[in-house]
Amino acid sequence: MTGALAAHDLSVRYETQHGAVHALRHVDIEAHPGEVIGIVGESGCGKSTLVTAMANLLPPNARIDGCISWNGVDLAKLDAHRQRLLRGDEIALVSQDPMTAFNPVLTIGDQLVDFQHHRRDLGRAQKRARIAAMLGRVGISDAERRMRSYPHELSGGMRQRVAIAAALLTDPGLLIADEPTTALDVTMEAQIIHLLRELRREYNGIIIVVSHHLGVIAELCDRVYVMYAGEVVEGGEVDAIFHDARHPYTQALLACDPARFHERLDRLPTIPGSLPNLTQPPSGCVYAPRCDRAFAPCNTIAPPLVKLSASHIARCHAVTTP
Amino acid sequence: MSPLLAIEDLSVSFTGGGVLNRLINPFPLPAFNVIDSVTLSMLPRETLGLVGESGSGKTTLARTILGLVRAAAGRIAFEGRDIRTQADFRAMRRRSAMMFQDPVASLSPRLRIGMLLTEPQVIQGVLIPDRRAAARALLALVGLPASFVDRFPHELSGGQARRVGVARALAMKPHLLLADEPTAGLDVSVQGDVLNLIGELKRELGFAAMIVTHNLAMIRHVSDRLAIMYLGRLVETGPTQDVFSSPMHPYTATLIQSEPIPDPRRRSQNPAVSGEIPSVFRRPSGCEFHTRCPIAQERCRAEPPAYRQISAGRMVRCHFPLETGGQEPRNQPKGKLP
Amino acid sequence: MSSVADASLSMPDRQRFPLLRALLADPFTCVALFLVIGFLITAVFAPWLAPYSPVKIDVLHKLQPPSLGHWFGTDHLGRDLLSRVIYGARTALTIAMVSVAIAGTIGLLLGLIAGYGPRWLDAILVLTFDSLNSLPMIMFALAIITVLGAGTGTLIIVIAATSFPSYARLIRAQTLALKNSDYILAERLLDASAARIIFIHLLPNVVGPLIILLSMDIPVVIMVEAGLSFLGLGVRPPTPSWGSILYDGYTSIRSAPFMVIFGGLPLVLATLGFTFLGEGLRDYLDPRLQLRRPA
Repeated sequence: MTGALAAHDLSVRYETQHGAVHALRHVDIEAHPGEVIGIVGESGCGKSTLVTAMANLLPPNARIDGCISWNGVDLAKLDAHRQRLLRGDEIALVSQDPMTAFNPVLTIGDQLVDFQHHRRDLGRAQKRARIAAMLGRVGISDAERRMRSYPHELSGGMRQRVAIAAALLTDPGLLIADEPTTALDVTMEAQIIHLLRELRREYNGIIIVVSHHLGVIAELCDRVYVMYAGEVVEGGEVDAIFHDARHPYTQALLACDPARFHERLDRLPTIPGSLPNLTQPPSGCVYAPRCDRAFAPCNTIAPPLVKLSASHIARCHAVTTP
Repeated sequence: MSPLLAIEDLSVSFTGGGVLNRLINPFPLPAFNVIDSVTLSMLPRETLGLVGESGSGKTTLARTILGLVRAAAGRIAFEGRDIRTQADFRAMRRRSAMMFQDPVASLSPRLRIGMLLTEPQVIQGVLIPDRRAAARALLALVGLPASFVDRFPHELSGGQARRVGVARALAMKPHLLLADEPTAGLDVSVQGDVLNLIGELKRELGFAAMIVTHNLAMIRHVSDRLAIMYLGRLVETGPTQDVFSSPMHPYTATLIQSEPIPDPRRRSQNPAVSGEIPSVFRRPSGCEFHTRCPIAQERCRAEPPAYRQISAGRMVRCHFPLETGGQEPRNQPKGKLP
Repeated sequence: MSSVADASLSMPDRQRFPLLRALLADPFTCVALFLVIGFLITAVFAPWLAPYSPVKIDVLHKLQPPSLGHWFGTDHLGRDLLSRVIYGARTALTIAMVSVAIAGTIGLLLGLIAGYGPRWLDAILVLTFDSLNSLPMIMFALAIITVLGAGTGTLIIVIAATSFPSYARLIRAQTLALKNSDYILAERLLDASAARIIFIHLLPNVVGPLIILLSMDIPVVIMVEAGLSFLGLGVRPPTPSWGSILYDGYTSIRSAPFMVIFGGLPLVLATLGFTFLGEGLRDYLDPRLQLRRPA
């Protein structure tokens, strides 16, 4: 493990009345400062569980195995106080709907001042000056006026800009953007993508972008992890994932995206079958029941993580011999 | 071929409060048009994509067509007959159907799927000897197992609820299907499933479909013709392929260029458009897109452009429509993707 | 298309009697349920359970303390107190359930009409609810009793008339919230009649909170009945009522304090029972609290 952020053999299960739901199983990922990491997958693939685990915000019925380390420190072994400090200072989260991230009865300016409560060395005026500068950096031209407005007075795109500014105020080492453009219209989405890409030039922490939208991942990320049913099935440089996908699920997922075809298709491609029940994950490969290249061992033996190149990995029996 | 549906100069306006409020309140809000003189027609068996961002009025337009929202002005004709009275709307609704954006929320939560599927027939007074058998037949039509008749809506996944929505919409063999964001909230692998199903049933049953969406990547594979809306007005209509290959309205071009491409080798450079979508409360003067338009000129600020025909089947509302073929949209395929 | 069939396999089995299971899971609700069932059985089988007639006067044995012959003792007219308490349960529960049922039905119907009907009708109905709500309950009760005379029927009318407006308001608010929901719009597109929309689609979805409110109002009504009977404005003697037992006990509290205890105890237990049951129901049915319930 070398990265600033690394999850090693991370498994998360939720204890429920109907048994344990194995939401995440044996996940290995790592991220280095300056990188933009994409986590892509469909609903139920565990991408939200993974980022909530990294932000240390899992619900009380979650049980974690394995470790998540941040600059060599195992997050799970920290006491509650240190975890909270780390969350406030080092890890920032931008969620899908920024409306819920803000208190509706306080002005934007007041809330952003509060976000800096760790900075005891700064006075209120200094904090407001930092906010104005940060709002300017995320492309909000009339920062002073915006600081006096309430969250509902901003449009969705503007709120997302403010949420990004808020996240960057603490100068975090890790910025997690969970479906940052899903709630936005396409013209606003393009602007937010552009903004995130501009910001990373000056920002040298890790950015993790979680999305189900392949286009957003392709536009933003350096490296991508593809998740399916709680496992990372493939990971690699963005170009390798989009142009040299090796795992059958990644290939099928890419093939389904109508944005990749410009000629009109009579039938849109789909992935037949449905997600396995995560209370009893299959003993073999999770994707085997839907995979058109599955053969005997796929149903019984869990596939190993195959290293295809320095950065390209895939968890599949069919790619064991590259 | 005579049109199945013809809309002329249709407007929907929201006024500032009720009659009493307008009498008493010294500062009433001015009425504003959420739909402004929309002219649109659909042929039988055609698939029309109605595309726009949030606030463009596309859902309101669909609801107005079926009489759920009252029009302030304009004319709707369905199968050659003017729709004026509530009775006309009722007769029209008997030959049309609507799929709502949220498939689970549009199913009455305390009824079982079997009941919900046969409800259209029961309401229309169609005699069905065996409701369960009729429900099973409809489930089979949309590829769901017969055991679903005893399920409740909240027990279905998004894709399954969508299929029930399709079955319910098609129970009365409509001539027109209005589908509001039929793929919203669905994963890409399931989205294709639902669209393929609608396509298959369309070929089989021969209805026309209006698909209301903001999803350009999807609609280009599904629709025959596109109508693009911005702030309650149609800005461009034309055959899907032509609109994608050579958009005439700068807004259409913007939309197409804004769509992220799932290919890291062809990343976008600068965002095609800046600024926010204005509100219909404060509709910009002249051409409503001039506040964000990259090629706006003085005339665009002052004078609203007319909605005019440029070539056969292509209408555009712009003083300076983009030259056909002159604009090279980024999303144009340079080579065929694998 | 086979894709959809497989998903059905992952559905958890639907449990039988989910409501009963949920209610029994909470100890308070469990005790409350047994109390309520106990009172219901007492009320229904009063003639078989009561050792004596509740109205038979025996002045020779008045104000006797509890004994083997009279478990709860006798009152100032020598009537068996246990029998009067048992029959009092019948009076209390009958009045409570009948008046709450009448008020609930009226409230449900008017609320649905106000919520789904035209705006002018809504305005008139809301005005009616508000004016009725603004009448002070005791004054209103006194006025009605003056006109109609004291008695069980009057009591039911008073309670129903003063409590239905709050039920109607609740139902109206629920209906207004659902009126523009997608599934009601979908029904309107199918040209479903107003009656069909109201009774098949709106009613089942608005009735849950009402049932909770009603079950939590039953103890209130029992208290109101006892209070009015205590004041001599409720059920007419010699009909046994917990309120009148309390009043009789109160007048002879020095010589026979057990009367107040045995008159008051069932009142307290019934109130607690219905209140906790109501809260148990609310926890089960209220969607905002459903997070606490396993999916």
